[in-house]
Amino acid sequence: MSALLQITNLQAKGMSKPVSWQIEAEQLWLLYGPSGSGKSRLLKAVADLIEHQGSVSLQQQDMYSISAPQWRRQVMYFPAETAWWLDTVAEHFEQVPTENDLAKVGLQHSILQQHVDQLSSGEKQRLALLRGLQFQPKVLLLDETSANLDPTSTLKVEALLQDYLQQNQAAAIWISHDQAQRERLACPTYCCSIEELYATES
Amino acid sequence: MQTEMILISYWDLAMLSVLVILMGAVLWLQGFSHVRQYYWANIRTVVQLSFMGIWLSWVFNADSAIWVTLVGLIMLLAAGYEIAKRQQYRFQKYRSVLIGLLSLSMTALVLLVLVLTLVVKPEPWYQPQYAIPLLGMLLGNSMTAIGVGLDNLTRNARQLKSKIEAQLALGYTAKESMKFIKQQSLHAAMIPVINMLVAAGIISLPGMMTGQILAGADPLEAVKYQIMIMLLIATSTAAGTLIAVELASRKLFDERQRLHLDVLVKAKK
Repeated sequence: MSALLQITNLQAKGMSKPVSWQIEAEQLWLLYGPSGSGKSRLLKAVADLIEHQGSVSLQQQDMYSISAPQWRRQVMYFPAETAWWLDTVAEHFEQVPTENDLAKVGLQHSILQQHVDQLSSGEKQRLALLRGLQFQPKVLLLDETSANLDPTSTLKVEALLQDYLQQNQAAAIWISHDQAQRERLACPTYCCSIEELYATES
Repeated sequence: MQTEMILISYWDLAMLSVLVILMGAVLWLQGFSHVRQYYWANIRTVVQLSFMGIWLSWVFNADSAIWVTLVGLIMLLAAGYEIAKRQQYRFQKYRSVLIGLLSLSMTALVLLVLVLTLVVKPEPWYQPQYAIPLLGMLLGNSMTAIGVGLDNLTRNARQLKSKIEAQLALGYTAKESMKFIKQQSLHAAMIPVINMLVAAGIISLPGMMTGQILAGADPLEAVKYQIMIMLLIATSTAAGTLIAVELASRKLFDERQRLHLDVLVKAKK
């Protein structure tokens, strides 16, 4: 079976070496490494948000064979700092999430009518996750997605993501500095430090 | 009711300039830190307008298309340069000037030709007495609106970078991701124009109409001219700003719709 996501000799500014990586459907990789080592840059390059060398393909379709917005809808980057450009939460959704969707990440339905300035960073992070998942991306690039969450919410987000990957035959790369989270979700098979990636010859 | 215009002497103007010098001193005593610019701006006004006077009487006498074109071109270039000068963040390699020139010539210049050939119809249509003042009014207003619109766009793009990138990451196009900033820029550029239109005739007496009345024209005729100018200004500022904001926001992205703010450089003050 061919890989879902194939990264070949990908390098962007801020990454010390080119990276090659194969990711299969339903895999959840946890990526770690010191700050400034190029983890976020790697994910942004995979989503074609920054300039880079090398190639990335999804289900054997090269990044450059489709438009950048189409690519980013399927290979979606979730930044560590969420950003909101309209007034209320609901305006940021094409399809407003159901009560059930929100409950899965521990949020109330009334949060949709709130002004984005009133949200805590943990609430924003969970809402940003739902905001992206509505497009049903095939690859999720999660940049410290649970960094601002309390332990209960973290577990809920983890469960949601694992379900999502299974139901959609999708895969994810998740940057996490939380050792316990890595062990819980991925180690030893799918844990990976950025240095290991740099060290692997393609 | 054509009456003879009362002439002002150079001596009168010199008296008025004393007032400006005094005001500069008062401003300085109040701690205003830009007195030098204040004086410099006044000197520039006097010198530029004097040259314009000499120039225009020359061009009016010559009455040739080449001279009108030349004066028009100089005015256009100066307006493009002024637009770029008002930007806190400019595009590299004089692209701000280019954006300004392009949006000015696609609106103010086109409107001028249309109004001269279809509405006013002087003989010949490029007669400097009509062409140059009309162009000046269109350029002046468009320049201000475009300058404000562009400055707003580039400053917001820098400040709200993460909000643009969040939308790009979600697979929205560059155009969609810039929409909220473009709206703000258009708003900032158009509000002064809207205010000017609202104030005309009640709070302010527009300059051109005042000039014609002072020169002895019938107020009703002067008003018709002024209404025409106002409608032209309303059109050219709106179209010019739309074009400039569109051009500028495209230049912020590459062919893969990635945001590139390094095309902007901070102006040295």
